[in-house]
Amino acid sequence: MINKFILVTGLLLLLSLPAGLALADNGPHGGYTASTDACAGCHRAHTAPAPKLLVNAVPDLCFTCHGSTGQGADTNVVDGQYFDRDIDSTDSGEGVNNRGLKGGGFVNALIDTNFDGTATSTPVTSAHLNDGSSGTAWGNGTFGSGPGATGFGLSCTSCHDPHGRASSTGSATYRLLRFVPFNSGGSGRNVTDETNKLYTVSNANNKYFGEGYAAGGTWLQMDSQEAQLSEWCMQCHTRYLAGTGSGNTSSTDPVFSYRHLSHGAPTGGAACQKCHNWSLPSPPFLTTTAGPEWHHYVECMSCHVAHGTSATMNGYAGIVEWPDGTTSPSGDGRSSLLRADGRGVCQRCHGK
Amino acid sequence: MSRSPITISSVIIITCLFLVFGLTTIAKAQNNPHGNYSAATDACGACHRTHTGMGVALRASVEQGDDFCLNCHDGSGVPATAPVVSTHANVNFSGGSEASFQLTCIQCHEPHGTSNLSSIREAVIINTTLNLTTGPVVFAATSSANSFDDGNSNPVSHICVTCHINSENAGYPMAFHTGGVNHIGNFNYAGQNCIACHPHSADDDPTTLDGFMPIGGCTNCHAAAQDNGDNIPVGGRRAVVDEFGRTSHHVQGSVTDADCLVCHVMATHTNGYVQLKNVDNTIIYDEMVWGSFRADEISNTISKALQPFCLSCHDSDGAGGNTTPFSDGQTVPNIKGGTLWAESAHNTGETTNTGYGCLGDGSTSGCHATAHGSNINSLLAPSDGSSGSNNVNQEEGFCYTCHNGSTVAKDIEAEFMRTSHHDVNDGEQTANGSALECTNCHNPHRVKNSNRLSDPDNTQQLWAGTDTNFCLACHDGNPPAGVSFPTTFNGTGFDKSNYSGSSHSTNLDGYGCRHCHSEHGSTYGSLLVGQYRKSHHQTFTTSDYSLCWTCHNTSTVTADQSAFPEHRRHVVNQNSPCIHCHDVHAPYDVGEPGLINFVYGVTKMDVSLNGRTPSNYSTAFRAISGAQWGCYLLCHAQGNLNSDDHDPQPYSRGSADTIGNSCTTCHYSGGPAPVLTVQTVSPQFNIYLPIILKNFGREKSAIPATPPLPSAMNQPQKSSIYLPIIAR
Repeated sequence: MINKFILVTGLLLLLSLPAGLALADNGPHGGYTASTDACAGCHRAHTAPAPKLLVNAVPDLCFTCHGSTGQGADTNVVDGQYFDRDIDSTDSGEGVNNRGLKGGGFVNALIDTNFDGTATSTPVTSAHLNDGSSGTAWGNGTFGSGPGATGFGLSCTSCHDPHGRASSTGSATYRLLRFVPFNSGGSGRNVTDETNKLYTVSNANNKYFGEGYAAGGTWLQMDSQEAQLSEWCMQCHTRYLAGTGSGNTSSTDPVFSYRHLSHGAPTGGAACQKCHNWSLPSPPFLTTTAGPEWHHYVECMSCHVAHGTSATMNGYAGIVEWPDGTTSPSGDGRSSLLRADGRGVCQRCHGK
Repeated sequence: MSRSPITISSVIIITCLFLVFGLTTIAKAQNNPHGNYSAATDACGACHRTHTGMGVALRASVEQGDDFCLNCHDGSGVPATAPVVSTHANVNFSGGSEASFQLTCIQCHEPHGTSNLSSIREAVIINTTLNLTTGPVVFAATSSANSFDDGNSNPVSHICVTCHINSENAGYPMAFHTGGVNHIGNFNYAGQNCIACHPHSADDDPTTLDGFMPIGGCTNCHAAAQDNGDNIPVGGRRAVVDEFGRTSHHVQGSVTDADCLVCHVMATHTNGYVQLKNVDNTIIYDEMVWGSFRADEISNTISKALQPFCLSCHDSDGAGGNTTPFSDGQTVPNIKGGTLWAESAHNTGETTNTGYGCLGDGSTSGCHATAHGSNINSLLAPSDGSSGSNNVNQEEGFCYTCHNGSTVAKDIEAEFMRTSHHDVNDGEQTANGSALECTNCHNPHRVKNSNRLSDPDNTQQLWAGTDTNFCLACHDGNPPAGVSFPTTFNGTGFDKSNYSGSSHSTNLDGYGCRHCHSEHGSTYGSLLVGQYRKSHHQTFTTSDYSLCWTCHNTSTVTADQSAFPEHRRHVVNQNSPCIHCHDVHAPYDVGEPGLINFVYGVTKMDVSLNGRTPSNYSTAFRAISGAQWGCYLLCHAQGNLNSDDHDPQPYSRGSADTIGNSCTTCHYSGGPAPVLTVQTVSPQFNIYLPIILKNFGREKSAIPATPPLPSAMNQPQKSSIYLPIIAR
């Protein structure tokens, strides 16, 4: 009798967690065994109300666990915060409770965008689409192909493979990222998964700018997640990927002609001298005038978050035309997933 | 695709944002978007595009170099805060003395801002090829300390000097830009705002390469008030260019620098003291005390001393032989007029004072406020029109300032306030459509006590004709320009051209109009000096025609002692005024005896020409035969039911009429020998009348006590030479 009770209780408990345990490339997202139960977390074989036999449509299905009230995952991507709320105790150390997620949020975000040392949950001003609706994938396509791909549908599953092992070789990838994002036209890029997952930013005040993707928020050498991510992002935003010297050498593209470095290390004496003064007595010849956010590498994630930002865009920053020459939306709607208000991302490095 | 850094729509948006978010968002300092960046600055977006740059350094448009800067600094007003500039160059400047040169914006400016004003670099790039710099430059103010050239700190710290003293700079040596104490007129400009004369664009056209070239000192600098705080002169220099756009001003049109130099000397320019030059010689008039040449501060002594300066142009040869010295091509009025101004009452003061100069406050000194311009006519004071810019204050009212019994004893203003007067009053002119000012008769630069009149047809000349002709200059049916008569009148009209040759005129020659009229105003109608009733149906009294009795005996009417034996019936019994049948100025038909003229009676009264044939003015009164004359007015028409009607009644002009005053009215024994003039027009009437000659200055005390003058002639300033007038 007791055994039956334990069995029933266990089954009820399992069924009460339809999203399963929120562990990337494990839990419901991959790592399936021959007798896996994870399928039932999202699918119904005969009674599914949504396509692909899903118990709910994307993104609502995703938000069942990763939303504001979900209990199946600690990563609340709706509000861009990490809550230690699921019952899995094995995820301890994958994030700091109540802290902002590295990718920001789709509805709210917890980002210190003005560098005042504090952050409050604030509605996002820009975010990647997640509901399958269409927008423009700016910069998608080859040089000379216009400002980007219009009618570009995007949802959670466009980028993330909920079944895990999304690499071209079947291994796990960083954040379940697909080898080739849907509709991107890219040739594929595997982003190596973290050894020890860390979903939250390292800064206790949720200051995103300067956040690295290695343990402790530090920046890694080339071929790290940051660099891999730039190459992964460029599958959609093809012409945004710019190497060193692109700011002073035209790509010949009429729109994306001169482009800020987005993948690699700044070069030139002036760039080095932002931090280093060779007249100083010993390596690394660091000067006191160097900005704390100046790094050897500049990648997409140096300035942008993946999901959504609450950064505000006033004045000139809010009236910068879009690549197709239009100016709407303007103001905060022009925040473009930036990690800081206005052109704070520029100023934090260039220190003008 | 070229994209301007800032579009018009962008400006609208940014303006809205400015209003919403305030200064802390956009206008962080005067340098926005060039500097003073906050951690969340928006300014980068003004010039740069992170992924879609159109030029090197991620610039937002394809224009490079200075052209990129001109995307905003082109005077388009987008954004409105961007000043119009041309790069420092003389390439498109015709007045450049140096070799051709052209700088770029970033040689002096750091687009991302510095601690200096206007993002001036601390290390100014003096040679782009060699990448040589100079400095450190401190530029914290546009004048005084740490300005363009404050004259005190290290020269290399002055934004202008730091290049111009460096041999690597195109402007070195400063042979053509001496600066300092040798800049212009040996004046030291240290501490002054250089861009007042050397603006960032000489012609406000950003496409021309003429930045900081001199813009021509006078009109450009003095278009605005200048006060660099040194209290030189007190209160700073006032803006003067706009003064040439006032109601009256020298130079018709836009004043040029050359116009300024017609009168001004630049030797000590900008030291606060005005210098004027006599164009006929080398005399310089220095303003020894700041402001002492200003109309509201000038003394009459200084005003008199400056008079030759004004007259050096306002004479017959203009400015040293150039009668059109200004750019407007207008001929300089000859105020001097040989000796006319010198002899004029306003210059000499006659017996009142020592006279006046030209410049002044209009009361204690000269009449003209400034040579630049005045808000009232003829450059009169006060130039700002503070006394009121209405016509009264710039016409007769201005004259009354002195000619009201105060400065000048005779109260002309009071004369014009009398019952009848010449309509110099502005309000009356507005009401009746007339035009007449004091200066139509009296040129203030000409008249004097011995000749108070100027020629109405040429006011630059004193009047040299008879009194009668002076009046007829206007009352001849063809008044001078600027003179017009009221549209309505109460007498026989303003055209008195027929007066000449009439019996009154002939017999009163030398007396003229002023025998019966006062020139300014009178308590009697029509400016008459005595009573002369024009209305009818009023009971006759002798006083109704007291003006007539000054020459005519009352018995000519009351006792029919005249050629017309029915005067008593008409005038006394029927109460008909003289004007019923007479126009004292002229008969209707030339030569007709007795000044018979029915025009007034017909047009203004109840006399009618309708009746017997012929029935017009000429035939209403006509000779019948010999000395017999008849009247043919309706009131005399046969068969008329009016009881007074009757046939024309011929009458013979008598041979023994005694209508004149007695001989002793004019002549007396024991007095000065009279000058007698005997006219033999007719032997029938001998009327002896007092003649007022032209020696008006003679005082009453010089007139013999007896016999008494006729009452109407008893005017103190007039002559007492009596001539017999022989009339018919």
